[in-house]
Amino acid sequence: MSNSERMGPVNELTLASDASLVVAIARYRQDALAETYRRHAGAVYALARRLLCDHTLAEEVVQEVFLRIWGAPEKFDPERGSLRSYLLAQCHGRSVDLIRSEQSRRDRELKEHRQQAEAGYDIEHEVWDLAVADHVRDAISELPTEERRAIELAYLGGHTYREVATLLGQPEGTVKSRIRAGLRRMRLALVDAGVGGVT
Amino acid sequence: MRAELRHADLEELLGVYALDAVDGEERLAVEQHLPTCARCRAEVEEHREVAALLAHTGAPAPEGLWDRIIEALDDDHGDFSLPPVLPFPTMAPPQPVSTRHRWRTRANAVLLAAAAAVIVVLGVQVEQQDDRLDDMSNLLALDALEQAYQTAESRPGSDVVQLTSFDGQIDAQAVITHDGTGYLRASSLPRLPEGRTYQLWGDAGDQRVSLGSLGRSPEVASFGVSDQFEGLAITEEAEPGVIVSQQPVLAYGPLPQ
Repeated sequence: MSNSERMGPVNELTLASDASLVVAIARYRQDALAETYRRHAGAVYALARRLLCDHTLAEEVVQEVFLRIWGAPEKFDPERGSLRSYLLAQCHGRSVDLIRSEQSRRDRELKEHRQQAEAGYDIEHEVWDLAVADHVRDAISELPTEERRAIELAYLGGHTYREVATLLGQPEGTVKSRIRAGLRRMRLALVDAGVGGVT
Repeated sequence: MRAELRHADLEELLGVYALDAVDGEERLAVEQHLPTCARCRAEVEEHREVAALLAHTGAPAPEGLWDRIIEALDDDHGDFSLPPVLPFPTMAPPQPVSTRHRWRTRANAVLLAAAAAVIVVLGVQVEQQDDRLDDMSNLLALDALEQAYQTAESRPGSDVVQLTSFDGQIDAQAVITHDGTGYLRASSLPRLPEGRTYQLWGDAGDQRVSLGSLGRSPEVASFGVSDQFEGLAITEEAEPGVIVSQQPVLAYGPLPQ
């Protein structure tokens, strides 16, 4: 039986906005949580798996993220951003907390090196939706290499900006500024391209 | 102890903060600053929206993960006591269409055809009184069904039907527009346990016609009305609902003739 089958029949929630889903979650509707999971769990899991390089830990993070939205839906404010970015931010923060423990860091670095040797993928292969993939890829490709690498190591590598500075052999202040400038540059490009969710 | 950061210093940290790439005192300083500065909060959210686009959807989440989440959910909110029920009322035979309310003729054929088909899960919203809803009140404006209900309620020619239990402990209100579209607001129905659902019925005298399963804790649902119906009734059933109900009526409201 697939996940979607377990999660019950399709109903009006499949057409509901993310904000409406969270309202329903606030009213203890598990079907709203199920629909939220259906829409976003794949992205949340993929990000956790990418950061943690461990499927068991990644699943724990996904579970924690969805239990958190169930337990405290009021912390999501639709005026401040999309539900996906909120869930991913929760996932990223929790994953980073985990990987910054020394033991998990050692394990992760081993796996990360192995993974890079095998796959060698970069940020341009991480875009999430075919419908916006081209725009996101364009926005990434337009970034100066230094900004792109800094964002890549910080967000998808889970490194602090100080670690990024060490890895790139650049001053900490420079890395900090480049990450901010790169994010702004990407946002402007995505807004120009009319990518939804970026305003 | 690090000297207090200037606003410009904090702004420089917003990008790395949004990516969880800052820790220690700098992270703490940003977290303390954000509640006081709407502009910086907005910038962090903008950065996070961009970062979210960098994440990969990947394949669906692993099998079994959803089951574990469900098992972990706190189910303390299912405790309640249903009020006494009243027997399903005996109805007079349907009257000729010409004497009925104007919205009924148009909706009749559609409804009777639908009655023989599978039960449709209706649009459902929940209106359970709960503290955490207080913080979500700004979102209620987004509820399309609630807006539809209010629009129907204010539309000239709409009828309001009150559904009540025998002891008045539970009630629900329906609005039916001139074209036979109905909206049910089940404001005081207690939350049902896992595996149970409320179901809305059209009372056609000698039979009940399912108008849809309402879920465990409904708020607003839409449905269609036939001129065969004398009233609306709500029962409790096993999920996902039944074609023929053997259960007593929890709440009932006569339709205007």
